[in-house]
Amino acid sequence: MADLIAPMSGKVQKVLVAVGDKVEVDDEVIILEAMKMESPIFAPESGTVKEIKVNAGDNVAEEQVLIVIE
Amino acid sequence: MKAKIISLLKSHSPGYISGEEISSILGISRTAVWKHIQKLRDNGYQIESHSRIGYRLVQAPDKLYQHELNEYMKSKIIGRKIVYREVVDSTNKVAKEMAQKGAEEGTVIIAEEQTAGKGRLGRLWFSPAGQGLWFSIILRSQISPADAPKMTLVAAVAVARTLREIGIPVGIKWPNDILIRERKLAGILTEMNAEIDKVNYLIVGIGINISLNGDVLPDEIASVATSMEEYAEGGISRIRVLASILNNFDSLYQEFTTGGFSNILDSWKDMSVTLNRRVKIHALGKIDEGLAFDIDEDGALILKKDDGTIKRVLSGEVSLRT
Repeated sequence: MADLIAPMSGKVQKVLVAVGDKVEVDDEVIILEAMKMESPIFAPESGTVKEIKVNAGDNVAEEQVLIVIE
Repeated sequence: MKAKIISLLKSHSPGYISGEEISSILGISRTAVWKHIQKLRDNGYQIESHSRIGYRLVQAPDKLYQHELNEYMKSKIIGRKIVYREVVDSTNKVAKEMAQKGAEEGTVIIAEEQTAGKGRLGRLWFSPAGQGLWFSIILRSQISPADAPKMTLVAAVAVARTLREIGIPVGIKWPNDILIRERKLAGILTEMNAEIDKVNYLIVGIGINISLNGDVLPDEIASVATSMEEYAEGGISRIRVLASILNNFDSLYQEFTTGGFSNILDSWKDMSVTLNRRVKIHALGKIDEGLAFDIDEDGALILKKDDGTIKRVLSGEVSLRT
């Protein structure tokens, strides 16, 4: 099991996966944005998306868990 | 060799330099000189030749060639490798591909034209051939991902400072739009590739409208965009502006990576057109309205809403109210 963690504070611009999706390590799963800098967040390991804790438009803090992959 | 020949031609311009002199200075045959001259002509250099007196440079092309750029470059990191292309889909996209393959920090990708220049949120940035500066910078700094968004302000200061140095009174709209009389002159799109605690690379894409032709502007841009040439007497040398931006970016970047962000923030504030203004902030359908009161040490916008509450803004589209 792996948590996908926000490396910076910002806003969730897009969630690119749904619960149940299979992801490979380094797949883009979320795009964060802060001060007009866009940052794709990559799957830390391969697996299945178990839980998505944020929606597009949410503000997130650094180190917040965004997605749980199992 | 190309650069050396151009520099000889330039140092003699508007006069002639003989093929013999070029060949002896550079230690190549006169036939080789002639071949190089032909290549330069293919690159758009207007060179007159005369059988007895030699060659004369009439005009250099308005192209962002590296050997032309080098004449004005003083930077240490930014631009130590330059990739020049006539046409690309997007310089940010090319930069990303190169960064993935290990391109070094400071690599700059320059294009005369972008066919699918990237704006924010998947919008296009109108980038016709020769009418602006469209380029992207690859950075691989040791800063933490959490600090990386500050680079968007650093880039804005580099562009705004350069344009002010040549007499164009631009302002910065939070976080990094470069405006003049409320119209957009330049835009910056930064993209990060990071792991949880490490930046793999940052791409800073910059687009500057130099001489957009009003007749062919798409409608949605015509009302909000402007060009440098509307504000500069005597025309704009694209190559000099580009070199100055890279030079300024270089010193600001070194200042930033050695802990000098607060100085840069002061410059940002000096050039801001957002602070102490009433603003609306649009973020995915929600709108906040109030006074843009300050920016904090991370560069976030501090909004004093009309109900008196304070909101720290990291994201959203700012519109200035009068």
